[in-house]
Amino acid sequence: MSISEILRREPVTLAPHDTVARAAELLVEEHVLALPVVEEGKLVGVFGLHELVELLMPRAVRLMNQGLEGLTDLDFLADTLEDVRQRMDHVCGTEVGEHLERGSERTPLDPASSFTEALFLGYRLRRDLPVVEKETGRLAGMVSPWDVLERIRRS
Amino acid sequence: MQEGVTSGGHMLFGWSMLWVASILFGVTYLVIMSEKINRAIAALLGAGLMILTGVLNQEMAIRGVDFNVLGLLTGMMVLVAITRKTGVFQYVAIWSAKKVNARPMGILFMLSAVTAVFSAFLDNVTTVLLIVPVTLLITEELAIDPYPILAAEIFSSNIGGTATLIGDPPNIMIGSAANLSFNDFLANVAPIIPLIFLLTVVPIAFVWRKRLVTTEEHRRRVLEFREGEAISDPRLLKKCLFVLSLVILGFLFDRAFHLEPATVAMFGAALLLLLANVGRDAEEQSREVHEAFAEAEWVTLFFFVGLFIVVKGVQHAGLLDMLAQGVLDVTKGSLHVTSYAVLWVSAIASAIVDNIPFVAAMIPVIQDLGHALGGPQNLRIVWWSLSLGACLGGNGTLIGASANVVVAGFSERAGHPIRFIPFLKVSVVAMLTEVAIANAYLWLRFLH
Repeated sequence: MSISEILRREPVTLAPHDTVARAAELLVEEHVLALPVVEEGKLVGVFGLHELVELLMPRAVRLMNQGLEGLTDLDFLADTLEDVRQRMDHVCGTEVGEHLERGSERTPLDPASSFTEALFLGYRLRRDLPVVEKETGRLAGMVSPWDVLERIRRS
Repeated sequence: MQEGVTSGGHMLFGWSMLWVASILFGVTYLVIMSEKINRAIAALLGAGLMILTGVLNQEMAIRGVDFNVLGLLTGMMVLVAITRKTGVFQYVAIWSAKKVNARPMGILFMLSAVTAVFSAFLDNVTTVLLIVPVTLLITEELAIDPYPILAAEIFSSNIGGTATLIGDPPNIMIGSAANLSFNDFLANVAPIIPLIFLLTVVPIAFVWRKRLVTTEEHRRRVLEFREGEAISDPRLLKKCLFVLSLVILGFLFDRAFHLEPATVAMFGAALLLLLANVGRDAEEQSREVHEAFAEAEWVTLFFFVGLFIVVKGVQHAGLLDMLAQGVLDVTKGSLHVTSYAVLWVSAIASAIVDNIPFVAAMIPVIQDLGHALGGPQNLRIVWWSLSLGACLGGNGTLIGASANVVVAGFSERAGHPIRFIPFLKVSVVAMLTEVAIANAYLWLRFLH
């Protein structure tokens, strides 16, 4: 039993030069936590809600993920929803290829991976997971812990 | 003055110990300077080879390690790791920016002053890691280029670090090796620091005044910051401030109680760990304590261990005695010439290479000069020269000190790269000015 039977084989994908605006639209429309970014059929990374939310924060805050330590909480900022919208406008035109989740071009999941492996990875990454053909590196489909749960309910 | 000089003795392949030790020392320092291999690995390998080749035995190697330096560094690292979580550093930075009505010129001055004061008591890298995010947040709100303020913070961290025994690793090493106290540094090095700070920061603000312009609207956004909200744990903050005050008092009076700074810092760390964890269950305590210790900079600590052993090796083999003799031949035993030479050579060397290995090697050389220069009282002046030169020299280039490199790295990732050559044009002038002031100070205060 492998995840091949629950694979969503023709998922909605992004290209690296698609805009962040397009990605945001698709994330909302498809109601998924992450979209695979594909170039010539091959997975080049993942852009998801997490990356989008990161772009909506002040630039200094975004550096926190990279080792800066000085900000412990942001309550002191007088930000309004309008400020968040302005930052959104600011990044909307940029390409998703610049903002991929780090290391997300590598995934251990291929169609022969087990359910437990998919659950384990979903537990760690908290998003939808790309599944890649081992030999070619081509995107085979997407899978999420939801798909495993639904499969259990059906059996 | 040397313990068992055996530099004539033969070892591996009939090579003299002096040669083996000197080669190991040279290669280790070259590898550290090349930065191709992590500096802790390089220093520990060099140290291991000093023992494996028989230059030192393990017992001698361990005697070469200055545990007073390690204890002081570790204790302060733990204290900062806990205090950082309270948000107090953010609070002070925002408060200082609002105090000057969020005017960019005033913010440059205030954040530089805050950086200098924090650096005088904390590790410089830690200080800039705490100040840079708030700086970027403020300059983002003001829609100004952060470059002038970040550059001023780089200079200020190195200047502030010079002021006290615990401000910069070279001072910790010098203080420990030469038995100079917190108060000695406060009385002999710190007095000139405010002037050096002003004569560095004011010209910078002037040179870049055109970039330090913003609108009323943008300033209002910073003025709307509520710094009180930045304090995330007021109860922990009280405990931290209490222990930190005790530790500073401990440094001020350590001689009166025959205490070494490492005891004060480590005891402070243990006390704060106790206060922060009292009332927690065993599992939670173990997690919190583990976290606090994990945040100590182990790379730096192991780098020190390796370096101390490598230096002990060449010292034991007699190379550093020969260097000291060489220095005397050049300076003819003149206190003036020696002091100024140590000041300038240290500054230039520290601008190019890490000041920690430089000072580690210089300390035994200077110790050897004691007699020729007329005893420990005169030697103290040379120690101040070494401290001022090695610490201020870090301002000479973008790679002159770790804090510089860290600020440049984050500035680049925030979309405002600091380039080596443009920075060099400013930093060389700043460093030469600072060292010239230090030189004048040494002359007026001690050599007049």
